[in-house]
Amino acid sequence: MPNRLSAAFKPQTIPLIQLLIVLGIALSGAAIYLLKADYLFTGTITAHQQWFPHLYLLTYSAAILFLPLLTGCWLALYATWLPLHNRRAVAIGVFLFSVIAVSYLIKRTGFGTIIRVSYLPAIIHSVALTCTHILRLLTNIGTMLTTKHYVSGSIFFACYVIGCLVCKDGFHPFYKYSMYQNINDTQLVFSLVDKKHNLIPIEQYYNLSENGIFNLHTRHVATTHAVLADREAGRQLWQTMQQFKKRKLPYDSVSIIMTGYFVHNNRLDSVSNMIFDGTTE
Amino acid sequence: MEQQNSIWGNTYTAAEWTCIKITMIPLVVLVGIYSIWNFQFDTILQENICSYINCTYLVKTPVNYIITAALLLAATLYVFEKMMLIATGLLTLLSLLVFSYTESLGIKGEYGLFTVIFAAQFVAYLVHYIKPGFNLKYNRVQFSLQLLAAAYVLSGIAKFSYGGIYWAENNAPNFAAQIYREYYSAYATTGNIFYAAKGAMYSGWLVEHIWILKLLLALTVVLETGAILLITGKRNAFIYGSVLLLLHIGIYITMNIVLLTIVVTLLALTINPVYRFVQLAAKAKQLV
Repeated sequence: MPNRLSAAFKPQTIPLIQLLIVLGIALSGAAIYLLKADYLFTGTITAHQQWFPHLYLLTYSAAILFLPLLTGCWLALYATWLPLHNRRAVAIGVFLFSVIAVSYLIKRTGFGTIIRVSYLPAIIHSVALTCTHILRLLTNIGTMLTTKHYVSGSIFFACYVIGCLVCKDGFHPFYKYSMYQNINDTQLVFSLVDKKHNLIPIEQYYNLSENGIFNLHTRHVATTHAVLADREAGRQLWQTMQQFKKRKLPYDSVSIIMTGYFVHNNRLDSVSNMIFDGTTE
Repeated sequence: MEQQNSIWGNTYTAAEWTCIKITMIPLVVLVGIYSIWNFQFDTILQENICSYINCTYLVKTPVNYIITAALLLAATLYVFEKMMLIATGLLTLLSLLVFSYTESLGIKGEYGLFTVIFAAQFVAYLVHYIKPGFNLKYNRVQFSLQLLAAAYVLSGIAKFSYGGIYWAENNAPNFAAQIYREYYSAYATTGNIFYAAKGAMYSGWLVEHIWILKLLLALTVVLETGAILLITGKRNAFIYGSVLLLLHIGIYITMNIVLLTIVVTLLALTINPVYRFVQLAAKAKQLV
């Protein structure tokens, strides 16, 4: 294996390959954007229910897994300089373009039956292809790490990307690093006020910031419009906050106000709700 | 005296490596010790490794004293480059335990990046121990850089997989509300009304010029996904690291957010400001 890998590229061809791959990514992006053919990547569960009434869970899950797996694998192969040697990355690249083309056709033909039928095997094939490459990559890690400079130069990158995509988000040290990937149309913010509605600075009395309170709240309830008036969540939140108490609050009673900010008619608007109101004892 | 190393070279001197460690380790030690001594709870959310072991023991006496002492000892050994297999191994284990506990309380900070970086450095030292010919000086930094690059690329992938190519376009109005939320959050935390006023100013302006926000968001996804360039050599890491630092400055200005773990790691591994400062000071001394 090491001998075969070492013969993969001549050093002078590496910049050219890098350039080609960057160009490939740019072209994929441009094609998706210009043709508005993002159908396969962003189909909702409702859409899948309509398209595949009996298989929608399978097709939806496969579609959700599809892009991260494919991208992760492509990056992994690219990063370990394997791609053009065994033509796997080229195959995946071609497949990506095919998906874009199929997406475009689906869009143009109004989701014709033949294309719908071909969609499922395509996904299964791509997932199987991806898994095969990941397995192949993992089995070679030991040898690669100590023998080949260009492979050891990216093995941790590949492993961590795959680990984070596969493991549960937040299972330390693996994260999806999904910072602001899904920005709700309503942004919730919590504030502590006294009975005259004067703001109480959180950091003065708790080992917490507002973001900390927000995170505690999201562990109990989802941050949607529906929970804006959830008093039970407010009570739970208050109880949890007490574990972070720095010093006693010099107020008889306090309230937690949850405010939702959103953009409406090109203006920033808000709606507030008191989710907890009680004594500090 | 060791020869000073250029940004444009592709090797790391012992001085550069020391400066990288000096930049990173204080944050690990401070956050670790702060978590152990300030968050002493009996009930925690059962997440990560804390679902399998009872993490609440970590903050009980005498375990908290032992962990603090071990953390300080490991950090000292690490900075002074002594018994590095033990130092990096211990730092990996302690980071895993302490930060798992911190995160299981609902406090997020992507501290796992430190855990995997120490683990990667441990592997580098282990491989060097087994095979003395292994290029330790380069790989202990390169391994860490790969993990930093992975964090950025994952962030790009997450956005891309969620909203496709239209992520920036669809999220721009919500982002304006998010910007106000972040500033109001700072106001609710500190009581400083200046934050609320600043947030209203920025988000109000951006709502009126939404195309700027769309452009900035699209640029962010491109920069994050392109962070794979960080692993293509020291020079590229320096250049791309500087670009990413500008991105973080932009995030700080518009949203009042500093992703401390990621920014400190980025600074240490790519720009290495402590080393640059030392270099500058040495040059100034020569001139005098």
